[in-house]
Amino acid sequence: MRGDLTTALNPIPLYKQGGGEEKGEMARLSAFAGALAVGDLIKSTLGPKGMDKILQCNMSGGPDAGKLLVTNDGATILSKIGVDNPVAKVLVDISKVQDDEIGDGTTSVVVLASELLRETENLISQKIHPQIIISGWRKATQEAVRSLETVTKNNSLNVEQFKNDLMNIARTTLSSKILQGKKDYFAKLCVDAVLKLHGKTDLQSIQIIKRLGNNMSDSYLEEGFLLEKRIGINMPKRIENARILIANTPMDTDKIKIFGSRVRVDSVAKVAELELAEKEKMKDKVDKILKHGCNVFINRQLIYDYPDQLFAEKGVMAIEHADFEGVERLAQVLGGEIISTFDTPDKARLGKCKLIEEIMIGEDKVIKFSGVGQGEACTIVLRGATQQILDEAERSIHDVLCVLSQTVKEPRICYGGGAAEMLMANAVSQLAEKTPGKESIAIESFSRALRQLPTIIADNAGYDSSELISNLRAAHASNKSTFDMENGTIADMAQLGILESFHLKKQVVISAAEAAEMVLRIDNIIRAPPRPRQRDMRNH
Amino acid sequence: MPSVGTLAFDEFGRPVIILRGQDSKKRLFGIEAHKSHILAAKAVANTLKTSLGPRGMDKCMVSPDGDITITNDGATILSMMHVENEIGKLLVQLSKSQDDEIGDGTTGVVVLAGALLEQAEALLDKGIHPIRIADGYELAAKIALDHLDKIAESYPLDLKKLDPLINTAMTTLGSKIINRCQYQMAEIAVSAIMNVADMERRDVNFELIKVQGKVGGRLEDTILVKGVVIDKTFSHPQMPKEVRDAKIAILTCPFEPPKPKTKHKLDITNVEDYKKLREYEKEKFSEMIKSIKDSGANLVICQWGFDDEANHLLLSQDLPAVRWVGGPEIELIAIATGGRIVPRFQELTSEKLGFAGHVYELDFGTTGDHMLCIEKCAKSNTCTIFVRGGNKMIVEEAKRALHDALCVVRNLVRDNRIVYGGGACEISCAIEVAKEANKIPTIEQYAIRAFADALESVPLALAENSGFSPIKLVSDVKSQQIAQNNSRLGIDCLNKGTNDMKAQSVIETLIGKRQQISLATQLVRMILKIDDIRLPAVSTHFRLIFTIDMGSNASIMPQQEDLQTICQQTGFTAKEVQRLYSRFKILDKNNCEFLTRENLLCISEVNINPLGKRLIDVIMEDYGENNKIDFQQFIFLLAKFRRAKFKSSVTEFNTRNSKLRFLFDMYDRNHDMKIDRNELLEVLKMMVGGNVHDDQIEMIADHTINELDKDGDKSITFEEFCKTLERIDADDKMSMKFLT
Repeated sequence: MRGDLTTALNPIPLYKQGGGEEKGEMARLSAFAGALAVGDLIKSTLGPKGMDKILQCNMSGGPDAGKLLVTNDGATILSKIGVDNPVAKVLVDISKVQDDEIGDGTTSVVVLASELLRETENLISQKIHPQIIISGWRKATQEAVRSLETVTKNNSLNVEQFKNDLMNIARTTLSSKILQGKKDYFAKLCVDAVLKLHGKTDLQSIQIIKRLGNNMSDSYLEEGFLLEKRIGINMPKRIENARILIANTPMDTDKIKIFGSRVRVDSVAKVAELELAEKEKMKDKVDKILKHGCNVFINRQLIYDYPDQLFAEKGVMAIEHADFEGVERLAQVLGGEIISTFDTPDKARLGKCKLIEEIMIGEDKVIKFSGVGQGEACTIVLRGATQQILDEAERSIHDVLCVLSQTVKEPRICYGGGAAEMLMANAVSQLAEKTPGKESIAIESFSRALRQLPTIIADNAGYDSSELISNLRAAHASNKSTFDMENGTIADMAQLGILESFHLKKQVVISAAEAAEMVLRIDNIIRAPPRPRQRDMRNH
Repeated sequence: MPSVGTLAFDEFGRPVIILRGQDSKKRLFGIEAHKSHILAAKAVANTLKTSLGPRGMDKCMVSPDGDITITNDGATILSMMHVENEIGKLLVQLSKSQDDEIGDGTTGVVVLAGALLEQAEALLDKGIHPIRIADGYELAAKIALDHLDKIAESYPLDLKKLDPLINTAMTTLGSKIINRCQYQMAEIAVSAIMNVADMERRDVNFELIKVQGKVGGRLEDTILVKGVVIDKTFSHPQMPKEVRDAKIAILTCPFEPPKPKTKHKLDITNVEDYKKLREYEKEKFSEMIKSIKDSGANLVICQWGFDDEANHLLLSQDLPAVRWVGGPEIELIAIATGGRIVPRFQELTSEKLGFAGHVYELDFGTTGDHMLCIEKCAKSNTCTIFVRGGNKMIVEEAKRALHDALCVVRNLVRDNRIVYGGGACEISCAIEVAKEANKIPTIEQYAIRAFADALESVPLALAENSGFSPIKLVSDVKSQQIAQNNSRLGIDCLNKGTNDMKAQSVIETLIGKRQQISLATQLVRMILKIDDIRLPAVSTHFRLIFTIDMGSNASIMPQQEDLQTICQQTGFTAKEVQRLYSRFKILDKNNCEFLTRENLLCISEVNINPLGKRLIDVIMEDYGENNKIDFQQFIFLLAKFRRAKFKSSVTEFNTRNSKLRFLFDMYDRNHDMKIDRNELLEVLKMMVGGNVHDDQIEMIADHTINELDKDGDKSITFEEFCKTLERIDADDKMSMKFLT
């Protein structure tokens, strides 16, 4: 950017080379352009008839070079595209937060924010001050959330009913994903898995294992826990009533950890002696471990041949190199402690399970722990024809699990299929009618943006959205209904069982409004000069 | 003034005009320097102006790595602007010192300084010496500060009734994005300060308040934790997630085998040594754990890591532990819990333990993030503000806003005098200063009056940002203030229906305002006193590119005998000529064995080159005939651009002189072997296009001629021209590669 030029031919560069500033209208224009571009990009994935995107990673390098990704998940799409526009980055960020916080609704939040900004473009051209729009939006957001709250239902006291609701929510969430063909099956899978958690939101004890091969309907929920490891050679492959010791200890050579120590000997004989001592130390350790009375030993670190052989001799199953998460999860599932010292066998808590066996999934062997104590853990085994399908299925299952576990925490529910949006839009419109002053226009724009969501859903499904939406709006005056995606008509969502979590909907509206407000407040974009690239000297 | 314009050529033969000599230093002095300073300062102040007030807008900052910050805080904006200009940098410093000292009003101080400088510009034009202006400002600032003291009101500071304090904090938060939950935030800020305030000393230790952010949730979920929140979890996944009545051992020594600082070697020479060491190691661990257990602690917080074994021992001894806690956090925990930081296990005793009533883990969302919350501490005066928000930028901005609010409340605790905001006190000061100005007999009077005008810039900007007609509104308020003798009248930014700032409770601290005025005045004085500035020169290149694409198409042979003569005369090889001919044929769209102007213009490089037309002029007039150039003429022209690296490749065409002559001819269109002012001007105008003002081009031209003209005929002869370009390797710069 050129600085201002003075009379004396002395250009005054205010910013460093490469830096610069966009002001007022220009800034706003580039802000809107970025937001709308992101919104339009992701819009077509919304709803049960939304389309997927192929993301191709950069071919030139990096770990994912040339990898393909087929997805419908807003947060995943946005996190993979490198955007340069500052405002687009804000939108990417909200979808990420939505993903972290709720797990689903990542597309809706971005689309709503960008629709809000699209409305603003009009308002700004009518010379309405952004601050007025913002204060209108704040009122509108409040009203929207309040009106949504009035129609929520809470069935958490009635267990049967609640389970039914969860099934419906899972089905609604799944209906926009790749798994929609088998949505009843997967909904049941997910609900069962989540109900096992007994209200915890920690999804750690639900494990998802992906295996290439077969088709998706061969996926199943495994009671218990699967560990993707092999059992050592010469060891029993099946143990009933296992007592499991979970450890995190070096089983190669137990090094002396005191700093600065080293072995210095003057003869080969002494080396041999030391070696023997080391071996003996290892044997001691193994003996100590065996004293715990365990018949399965699982270690996070490597188990070398020698101790491995010792364990095999005693008929103990030893599993090495279970990764950190695996060990933690195992400990949680089996109810044992992760043990690093072995001097107090009476105090150590061992994990228990009824049966450990090696089973085959596709072509791979995994170790299955069934009949575990805590009963919280379960494993979802996904099967599918291609890696892309598996990955997408995993993301969908993850979304569903997140939504379900959040719903268990905050059990209020509302209606999906655009019903909630329509309801909020109508409530906000009514507020606009009552509000005096320019804010009313802003509030009205908020309701228009809300109404865009069902419009886009209908558009994506290939229906006549303007017809449907106006019918819907009229129908909404009397009851809560919205359209049926299969038939393209208006229907009662309560009958169709299309439910969504209230928490999710609320968060979508609030975050989208927050982000749009933030973008609207910007009147200057100031760029620092990009950091000069350092030459990569690592390869020279 | 050093050299202004020199013409050079880069390795592709593209002429480059270099404004200002590359190796000389830039120097500015006198009124020129003042003007340039003021211009820079104004540019910075104008950028910030729109952020002022409750209706101010935000700025979006893109960092060198492409990260985004959205903020309204003057100090943050400036520090992230990467301003390069020296005066700009001074303004950045200014807002930073306001931030360090007061914590708020960082935008206002820059706007004020910008306005003062703007006023100074007008005075400089009147011919008033900068020092007199500076002195006048000094006097005026004193008047304004005295007046501020007069109109300041003492504010009730009552620990039971926090509402007035909350109002002040709300004024500060009003301009930030978090004004949606203005009241809640203000309340949090006030109770945080009240929690740690030392009313005896009238001071607040900021170290005791930590502002921690975590993305997710909503702004409304922001809470004040009377304790410490750290971004850590228990070291072993199976440790209890909650500890009540915790006695905390705060350690800065690692749970690892001892590691003496002095360099040493420990040699194991036989089996006994080995065994002994093994025992020793084991003992060490159990000793460590035992010393903790003995002290009666039931929670361990450690600055360093644990060995796996130690970790398990801690677990088996029911000692929940937290590892890798940072230095400042450790200190905070120590202060909060009343514990002592223990650097060695041996020194751990029960008196040194800290106490906390409730320690627990907080879970968030779906990512499995955890944070550790230490509450109900022995000395309950530490607190943490835990900020939540929909996205990263809003959390960061909320943190900054809360910091400002905290600072303001602290300032009130320190000094409970206040003035009214919304531009009220600025207007009042402006009236007072203007009144006093008339009593000053010397030239400074003008400066003082200018100061009064500058003070009004703040209410003007407020009104403008709120969408009012600024001049009308400010003059209204001003007349009302005088008529009612009421210094509390300001700009009603939020359209609340009254402009009495007391009724709106728009309150600012007296020290904040005082600091703004005195800092801004100081800085302006400093800038006005600079009359000479030197800095390493930056060269601005205007690059003009002309390359002629040599093409690569199939060949049509020219006549054999022609070819030989051409090769002899020009030094081209037969192959090169052949290729040039094919190129010629491509350009020759009419297929009539000569090129017209239009044909040459089809070469896109020539077409977009600002000097393209001129280049064609030269080619057509000097080398061709009747606006046509045939192949022979074409090749003689190009022969000038052959490399003359070796003696053997020199022909009459590509000597240094002939190359420079071509260049000279670009300027000298009347062939009088002189470049006069008009010719130079013409070329310069073509080169810079509409980007530079005519006056400036004329100055460049004058400077260039003055500098290059040795014989005083106000024009540049070919000899002088060659001399300028003496150091330039014309052969290198004015040659091109001919494909074969």
